[in-house]
Amino acid sequence: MAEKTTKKRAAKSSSRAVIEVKGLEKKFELTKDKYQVALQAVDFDIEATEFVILFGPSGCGKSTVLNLIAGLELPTAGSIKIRGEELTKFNKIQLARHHRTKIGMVFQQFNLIANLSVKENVALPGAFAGSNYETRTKRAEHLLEMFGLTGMADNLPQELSGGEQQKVAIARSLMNNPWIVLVDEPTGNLDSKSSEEVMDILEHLNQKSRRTILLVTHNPDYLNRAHRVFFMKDGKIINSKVNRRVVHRRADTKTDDELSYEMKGGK
Amino acid sequence: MNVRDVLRLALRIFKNNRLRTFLTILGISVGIATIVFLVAFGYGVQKITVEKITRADALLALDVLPNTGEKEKPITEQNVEKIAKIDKVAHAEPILQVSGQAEVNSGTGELHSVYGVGEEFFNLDGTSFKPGGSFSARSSDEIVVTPAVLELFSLKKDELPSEKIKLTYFSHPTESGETVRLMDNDEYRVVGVAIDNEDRAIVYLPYNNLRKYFPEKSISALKVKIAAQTDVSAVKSAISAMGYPVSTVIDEIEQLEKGFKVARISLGFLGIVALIVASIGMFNTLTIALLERIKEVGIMKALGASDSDIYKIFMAEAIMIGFLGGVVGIILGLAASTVVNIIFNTLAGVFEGQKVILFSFPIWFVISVILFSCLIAFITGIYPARRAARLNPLEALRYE
Repeated sequence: MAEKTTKKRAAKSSSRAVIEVKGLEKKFELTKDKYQVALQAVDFDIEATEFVILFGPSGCGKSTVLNLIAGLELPTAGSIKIRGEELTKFNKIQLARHHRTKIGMVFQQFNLIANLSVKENVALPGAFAGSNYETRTKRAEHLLEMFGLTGMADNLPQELSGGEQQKVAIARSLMNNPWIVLVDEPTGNLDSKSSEEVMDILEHLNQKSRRTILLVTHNPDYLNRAHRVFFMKDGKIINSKVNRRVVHRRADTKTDDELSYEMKGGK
Repeated sequence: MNVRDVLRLALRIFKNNRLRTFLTILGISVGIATIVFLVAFGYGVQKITVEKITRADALLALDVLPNTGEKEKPITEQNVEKIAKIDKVAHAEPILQVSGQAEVNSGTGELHSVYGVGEEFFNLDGTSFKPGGSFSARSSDEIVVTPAVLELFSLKKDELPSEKIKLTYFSHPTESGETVRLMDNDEYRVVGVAIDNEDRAIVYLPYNNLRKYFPEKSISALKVKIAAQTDVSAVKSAISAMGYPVSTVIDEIEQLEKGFKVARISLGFLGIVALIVASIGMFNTLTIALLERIKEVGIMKALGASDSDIYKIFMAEAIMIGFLGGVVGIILGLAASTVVNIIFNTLAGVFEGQKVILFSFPIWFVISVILFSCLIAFITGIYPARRAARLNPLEALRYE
């Protein structure tokens, strides 16, 4: 029943789909002719401005899906389209552009660069995108202000609490104003209070600034925050659920987003 | 990513692991300093030597020697006339050389040689005087001596002595083995002290004075003055054709320069060995720095850094180390050579030697050393930078 709903929705909204995944398969070579199947026959579409959670036990392949969409690794078979562009056919330069402008990534381990200040960390993707120093510093300050981190802009990441570091990481993921934010177990290293705060921010980002969010978690507490949840087990999506409580506003709805201002000087 | 951003990220090597960066730069610097020190020393000594033998007139002079080989041919007065008449020859100055003894206030001393020369001789030979100068033309009672002669008689070396000098000459042993001893009747006045680098006791007296006592003796050597530098080789071959060996100062300089080139290359080679050791150290540092930063590379790639961005960052770090290594190396080399020079001149002062500048730093040499250092760093940086650029982002992200 739930699968049917997904398919129907996918068919209806394919024109609006920002991420289209078809027949995705990923095998890891163990020995010469022994493979471990990490993913098989994964199909789904995600619409612009949707908040989707990939839920499942560890080792179910949910992070692999995220890494494939991020373009950090290539699938064994299948296709991934980002706004109609086939990701699996990208060359290295296109992949780098994909990383820096189309997606923002948030990791469980925050992955901030230890010897750059908080502000420099947030601004770093701007440097890779070729935006000039003043523009990206201004944007980084603006993002930090939004997350209430202005006072820590010149601190080093390790001087911040885990929750604050994760907020810095989220701010960094928004630096180049991406369509999609990919979030991998954002609260895995956080206490419950910080976890709630981080989840609130992500929900806010989705609702107020209309980012498409794909979040991977094994924590069932967050399931009711998303529009849709895909349940994964052993490399397959075994079930999906549309959350009736959270209304998904269409992408064409006007927003009051102040985050989505275009970066000047950015590429 | 633009150059400024690459540099901004690369400059972090001075913020983190400061000690390691400093030690790596020091390693390169020591290698560079060794090269700078040794090669500058080679240039310096060459410069001193060439300056000593090069005077404007000396460059225009040829030394003609009697042929003592198989085709034995002494220089006769007639041949001197002949050589003097060769086109472009301005002047031919014969030299007679005998051994002898000097006597001052009835004390006697053995001389290295007694030369009978014309007054032009000193210009052609590039002699410097301290004090005094050459004897005048047609003088018959004036001589020039080297400081060693004055020393023989415990006379002051830096002033012309008032004492008259008497001379006795010895002809070379004849076939029967007897040495002829001839006493000069004249008393001579010293008019110049000629600097002799080899510290020999030599007396120069007017050619004709000596000729009187040795009418049959063939000429020991001939200094030939040539009108212009461009004619030197033509005259040289004309005289060679007569069967005499000829040498010029230019030949000597060329010979010396060849020698110094070899010396410089060997000195430079020692420096290069030092630099190779330093490069291996640098390679090691860069590789370890990369291992430490694999995760960082993964993060940067996930944030959109391209392979070439990563390559540039690592390369910029390597070249910065190389450039600074070159600059610091030159400073160290200059400092070391200044100290050595000061010590040398202090010792020279103590032992009453001449004070000299032992080191020479041609500007092109300094610039090439810095470029060379950057080049070494570039080559050393290629492998780690390429490895970093090619890291798989996902594996790099998982690297702990």
